[in-house]
Amino acid sequence: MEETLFRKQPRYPWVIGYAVLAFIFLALPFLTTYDVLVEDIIIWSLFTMGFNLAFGFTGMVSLGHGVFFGVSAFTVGILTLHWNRSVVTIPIGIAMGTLTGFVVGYISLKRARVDVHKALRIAYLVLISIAASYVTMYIFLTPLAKYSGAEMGLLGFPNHPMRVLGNLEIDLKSRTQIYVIVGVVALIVIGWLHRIASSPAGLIMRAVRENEIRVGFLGYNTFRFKLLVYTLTAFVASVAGALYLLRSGFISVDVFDFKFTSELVVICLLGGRNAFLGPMIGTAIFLILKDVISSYTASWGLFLALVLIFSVLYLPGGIGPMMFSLPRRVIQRWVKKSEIAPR
Amino acid sequence: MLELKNLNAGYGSSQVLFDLTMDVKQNEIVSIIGRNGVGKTSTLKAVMGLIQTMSGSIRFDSAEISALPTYRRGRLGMAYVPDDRGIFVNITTAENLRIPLIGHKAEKRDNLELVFSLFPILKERWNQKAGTLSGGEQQMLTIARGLVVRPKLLMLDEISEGLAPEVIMNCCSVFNKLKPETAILIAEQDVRVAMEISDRVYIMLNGSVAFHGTVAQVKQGQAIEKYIHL
Repeated sequence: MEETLFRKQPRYPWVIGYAVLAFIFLALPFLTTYDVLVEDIIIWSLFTMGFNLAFGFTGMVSLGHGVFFGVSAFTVGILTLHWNRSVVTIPIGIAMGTLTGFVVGYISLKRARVDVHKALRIAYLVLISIAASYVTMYIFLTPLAKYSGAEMGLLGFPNHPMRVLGNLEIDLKSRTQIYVIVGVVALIVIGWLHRIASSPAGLIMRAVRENEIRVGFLGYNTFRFKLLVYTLTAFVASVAGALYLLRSGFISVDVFDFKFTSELVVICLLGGRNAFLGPMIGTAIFLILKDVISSYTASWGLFLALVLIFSVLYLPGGIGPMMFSLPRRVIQRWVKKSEIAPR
Repeated sequence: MLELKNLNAGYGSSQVLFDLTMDVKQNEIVSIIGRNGVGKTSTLKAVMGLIQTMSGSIRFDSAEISALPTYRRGRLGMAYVPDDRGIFVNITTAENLRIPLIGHKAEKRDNLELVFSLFPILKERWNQKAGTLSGGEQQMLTIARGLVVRPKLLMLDEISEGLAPEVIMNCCSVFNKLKPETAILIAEQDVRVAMEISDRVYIMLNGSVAFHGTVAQVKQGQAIEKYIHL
């Protein structure tokens, strides 16, 4: 009986969705001249979808994810340039980013217990993540300036191939290799995130967003749960950071600025924070608009403001869900009309 | 089962429970009655750990729990049904009942059947967002969510609110059946309902117990007239 009561969603839409994603991630970059933009969308989608698990699903507003992205990318870059030219630096970088996420999450969630007002709890997270942004900015600009390249950013990364095993190497200048790596990793991580979001844990996330106290008296340690989700999203941000470095060969301290992460919030709101694929649609729209509009005018921010105002006023659920519901509604209306017509 | 001894508790620095002593035994339905603001809800919240214990003890299954966080108390087998229809409105009825069941697998089927026999309407609303349910249905869902894990102690705040009289009576007969496994503590404003369903009654006044006894004793002692209809 429970099988029918708590039945799983049918699988085929997800299989189709995954096939479409696989096409976009693995084939599209080779079929278009806008390959750089497509790669950007892929990496950023991964980043925002991870971020949205904390922001949209669990209701944790953080401006610190750029920090984890950056720590991971810088660690990989610095270690590769100064220590070891092999892929071993990548897991170290991801681990560093994730660890930073754990520490930031621990500090900001520790005091945000359920008896603290919800607005204050969100403020703690925002403020501590801003603090993390300043601290890492300082660390990479001053004590580590020699390695990080300070304001110039990390230079010289892609000039040498990365060793994997024996004679097997990743050629950082080969688009084919990089695009395949980025596509495959992004597909795996997004698939994994989807599994989490549709599992019981995803259900608890949505319940925590709605009312943490109630989740607490149902027997869940919400502090640990939120910290776990936060660390998980930091991990995804770190993976995205490492991929970004591999793809572009460059990273600058700008990513530590909390304004950088605030763009993620914008993307999630634009695409739809309640939908799993929302942030990906948001990312695509955001980056394409940015690309197109910046080529005409320098005041890209103004257009973004207009888009934001429009989406807040008319699309509170985001553009993503609307893209699926609008055609359905149009078809329904059309079917209804054709039913009425013969009379 | 549950023992409160000289419990002082409150919200931050303002104390609302004073030297409260109360107990609920296995196989018992106990009601707390009293006027508005005497501390009925606060008592349940203190047991659940939602307000701070200042001094005194709370023992559950003969273990001291007053220092435990809320979620640990929940795991010990306490379920709390708040009076504000504490459901999650943005997820479906099914998902609301799913959340407390994650991790308990064994008797899931029986428990859900029990819930359906009690509130058949929930089956019709199964895949509907809980926020779209009517007030009474939301109340049913809240009670169902508490019952579905078959807790050792079920605490209900104002069950009569929003439920039709026959639904309340239906609940009561189920509570009576469950009694051997699930002791029940009810905070209730409707004296008639409380007297109908309970084995024992506590009457609260100004944050402590003014009178307690069996339903017969309460009737005999004219306690209702004395402490409630002042």
